[in-house]
Amino acid sequence: MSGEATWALQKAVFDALTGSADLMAMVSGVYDHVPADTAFPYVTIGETTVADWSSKTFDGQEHSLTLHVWSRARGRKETKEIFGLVYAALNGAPLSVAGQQLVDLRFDFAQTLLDTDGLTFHGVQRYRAVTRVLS
Amino acid sequence: MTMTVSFTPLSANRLTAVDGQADAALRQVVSRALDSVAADARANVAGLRDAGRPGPSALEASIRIDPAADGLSGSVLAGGRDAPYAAFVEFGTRRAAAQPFLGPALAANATRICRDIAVAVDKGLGAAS
Repeated sequence: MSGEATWALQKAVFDALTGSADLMAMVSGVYDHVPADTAFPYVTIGETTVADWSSKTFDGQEHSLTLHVWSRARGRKETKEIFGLVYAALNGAPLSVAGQQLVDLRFDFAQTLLDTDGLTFHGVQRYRAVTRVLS
Repeated sequence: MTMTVSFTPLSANRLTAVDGQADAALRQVVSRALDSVAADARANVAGLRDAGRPGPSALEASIRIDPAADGLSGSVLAGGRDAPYAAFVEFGTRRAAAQPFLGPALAANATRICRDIAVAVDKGLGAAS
């Protein structure tokens, strides 16, 4: 399995998120690796699971992409507002994925947790994407 | 933390008549799906565990299935009193990277579960026609 599709998808998701003026007005940034002393709130691109979605006539992959929201606000309101902005940027969006046709990009689930430090709200959103290799 | 594998029983219009035919097969699919996802999740936890660490894994032992009363839906659960940190393992913390064990277990089984549902429904339709 090639990692090209999953990396191209991550880049497209990053571009979509950082291209959202509403989201970027609310968070300090969108990160894969988070720099030290990054200001809250921020979004991180997390784990990806990839499965084969090929048929006899094309090569494709199904991706499960996890995004994380980190907030130090009092209560979950900020985390959930950021959830909404991420959803608006990604759910059903016709993203341009290099070398791939993005067949579908859909919200899967979200969960909020209070982190082990007792201070940080951790929001988890997972999206399902299907890509097909352009021949 | 709960991960759910759920199915909607057939109930609309002409498919209503098929319910009785398909339900038994769907119950078997759900039962197999829950067992398979739970087994894979336990294997994932075992794979995360440091080699040589003694004793049983509380997280692995906390993974269990919870079928609905009608057998047509159910959940695979992890965590609880003996492993309250299950969600932190699955989703990570600010200081510790996520080590997902439930999500990948579901993903690894999803295609087969969907195929098994389709086969069960097809058989139900065939038996009803």
